[in-house]
Amino acid sequence: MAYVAVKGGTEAIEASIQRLQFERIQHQELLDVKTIMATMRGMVDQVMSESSLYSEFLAALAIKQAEGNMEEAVFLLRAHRSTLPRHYYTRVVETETMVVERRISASFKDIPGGQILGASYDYTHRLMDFDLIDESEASMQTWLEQYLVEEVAVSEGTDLTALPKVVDYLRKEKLLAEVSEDQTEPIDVTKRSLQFPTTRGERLQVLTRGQTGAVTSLGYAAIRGYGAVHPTVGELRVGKLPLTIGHPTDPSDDFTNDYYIGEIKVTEVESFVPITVQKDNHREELEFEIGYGICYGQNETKAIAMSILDQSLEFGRQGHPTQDEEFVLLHIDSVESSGFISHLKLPHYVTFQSKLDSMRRIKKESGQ
Amino acid sequence: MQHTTHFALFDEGSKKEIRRAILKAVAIPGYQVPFASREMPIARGWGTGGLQITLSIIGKQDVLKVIDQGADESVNAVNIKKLVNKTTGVETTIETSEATIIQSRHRIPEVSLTEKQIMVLQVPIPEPLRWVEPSEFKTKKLHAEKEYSGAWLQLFEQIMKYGKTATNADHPVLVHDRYVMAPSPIPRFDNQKMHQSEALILLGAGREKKIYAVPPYTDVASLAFEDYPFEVESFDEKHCHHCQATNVFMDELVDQETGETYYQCNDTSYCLARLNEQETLLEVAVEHAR
Amino acid sequence: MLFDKVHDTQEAFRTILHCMSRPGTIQNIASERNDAEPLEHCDYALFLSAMTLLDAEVGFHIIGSNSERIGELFAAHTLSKATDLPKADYVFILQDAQPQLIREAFLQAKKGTLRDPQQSATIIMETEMLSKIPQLTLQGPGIATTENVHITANELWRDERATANQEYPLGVDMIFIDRQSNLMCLPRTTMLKECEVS
Repeated sequence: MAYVAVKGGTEAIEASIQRLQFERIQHQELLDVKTIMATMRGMVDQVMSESSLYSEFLAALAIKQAEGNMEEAVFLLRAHRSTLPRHYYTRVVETETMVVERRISASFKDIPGGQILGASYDYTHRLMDFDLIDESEASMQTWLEQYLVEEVAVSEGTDLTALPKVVDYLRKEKLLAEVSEDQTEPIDVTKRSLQFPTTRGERLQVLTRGQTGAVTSLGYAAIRGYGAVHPTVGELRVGKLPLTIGHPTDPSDDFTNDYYIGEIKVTEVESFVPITVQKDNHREELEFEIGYGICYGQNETKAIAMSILDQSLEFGRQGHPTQDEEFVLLHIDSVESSGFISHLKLPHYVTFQSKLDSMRRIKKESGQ
Repeated sequence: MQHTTHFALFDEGSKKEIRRAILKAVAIPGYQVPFASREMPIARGWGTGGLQITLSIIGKQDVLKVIDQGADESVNAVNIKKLVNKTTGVETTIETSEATIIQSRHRIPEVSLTEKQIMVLQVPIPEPLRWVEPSEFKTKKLHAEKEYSGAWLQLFEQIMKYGKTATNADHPVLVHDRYVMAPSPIPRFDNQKMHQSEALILLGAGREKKIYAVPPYTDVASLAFEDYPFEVESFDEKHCHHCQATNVFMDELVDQETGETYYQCNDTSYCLARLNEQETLLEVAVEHAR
Repeated sequence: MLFDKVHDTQEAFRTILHCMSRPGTIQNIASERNDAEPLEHCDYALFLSAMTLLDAEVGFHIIGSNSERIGELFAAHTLSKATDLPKADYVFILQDAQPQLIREAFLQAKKGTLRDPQQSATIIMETEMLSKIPQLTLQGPGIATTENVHITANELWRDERATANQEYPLGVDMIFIDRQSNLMCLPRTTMLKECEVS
């Protein structure tokens, strides 16, 4: 008879996974992926944004599998993303081409093209709607039919595909510094790890995939006291952007050979931040800088917070943590922060034994 | 919607990027090569750096061993082994000498490794200077300039305070006389196994996105002063209560009834192999006696 | 030509890794592929090494009379792009490369920076034959004491490599592939000298 290894670990894991499955289905209620897609828009958008993977279906599946646990759903989708080949980059998208669903400006009452409130929680009263408990298929249908008739009547006449940007107005007024277009190919942070100092493109990518709560909190810190940002939301728009890719082997790079691959819904924010600039004649003038935020789906708070952090990292010089790119960029990722925090649950016998040894030696030494 | 998992999970582009980083790591011993680092089906901090290396190098002919804190049967080791096996179908083993790839967290096995083996270590904090300097931008500069006075100063301060160096696991090493490197949180006892190792040692930090290596037959010196030499954890006069082994890294345990402290091999497969060997010897002896 | 992009490149990578970790070790990169139908413009082993290392994220440069055709072949199979020498991550020097161009290759190839020594080129050099007949003695990481090898090729590369690698950790790493698909590596850490005639 030979000794064999105790299979404790394997069995314990199996039992734990069984228990998890039990927890998910013990109440004998099933949630369809398509129901999640149709009714959990906020969650789906947040998961897609933090995962940097645009697929409502996969996000909904992840939410189902994770029992609605956000960090777990994002984790699932990120891990799935690692298995997908990524051969192509899309063409640069001009957000003027957005099919706008919602668009507001806090800086101008009357913006060219007008304010479009669209769908928003902003003016709902946050009162529990107890009618939803008994919401019926029939009442839903009636409401929908009526709404669609009225909505068509209202929206006719406005072209939502070519709304001018508020920022262009300021630029015309020379209130924004002139910048030339930068055609440098951006670095993909998921294919090349961050190297400091980072480029703005890298920062924006890390911010947009950052954990919603973390981005919001740090953005909040920057405007509350740990940063010197006093932004105005110049324009916030939510809508759909068409995406195209160039022909992969066509060396002429002819745009007419491009492929249309679909559309994504995004939230885009341009914040205006006033700064003092020294002019040639030793006079000081006020100018605006722009903080930029863009996220998959309708994620307005995150997009605004992102625009604050973008500005903070781009121009901040006062030494606040919100202006330190390593501090911000290396700590806002959901998968990284939750992973390292949770790894503390792993056993650390060996390191602890080593520590014990060290402490005993020192004690012994000082005892002599 | 059907979905089949690709061999070794990763898409080929991800593997290529990691393979390129590994080759550079081997060519510049002890230097932390940045890599993009993919999210894995296990959490960051749970061995994703090691796992990414393993998945990028592994082939159908390989035999894999995974250990966590010296144990093959630790839940995390089992979990990683299960994932690799599920996505590649490769054979797994607990026998150190049978493995071609050994992924480990916090230990290098007691049995000497061979030229046919690759040791993959999981790394939480790859930057040996991180406790001296929090900024990555600055630590990269220190490495560039071979400016390691911070690391030395840390040891010196410990001597001033405690009369000796008080490092724990992850005691920094100097590789090929150029880069100071974090050997990962292996005990000081294992540092010496890296010096002139027969096996290639690859180290992966998933969250920190770094891959580095100690090629075989490379000088690895634990940082120490001449008058305060490097000391490994001491298990003098201790032996494993299962296999009686001495001179191995041991876990300290307490007998719940008597309150007495006793020790056992931390490397479980080493202990098991010794027990089986003793069993065989015993059987032979019994056989002879008859 | 039958080519399994998952498993063949994995095996090829392991061979390269083994040889890069053990300079002076010679291994065959395409041993199981001797039946592979020959490619029109380049040896299978060279093609396989390109398949293993290249993709859209890196650029390559080829030196040799058939560079354009081979470049097209690599690009079509890997989506990697041919670039100028100073930008190339992988520089392929074919056997018929002109001496002047070999010199240029080592001169212009990326050596990395002190901050990022890994941002350097790897030079893949086609050679007539690799063997263990003592010609060069190798020393450095990956080698227990010393290794002797013989590289049948224009010897020009040796001085050029020495110049390119004089400021460690900056430098170039090399992969040699001979006509029998044998492969050998010289990372920047390996020191070369002529074998002593005994």
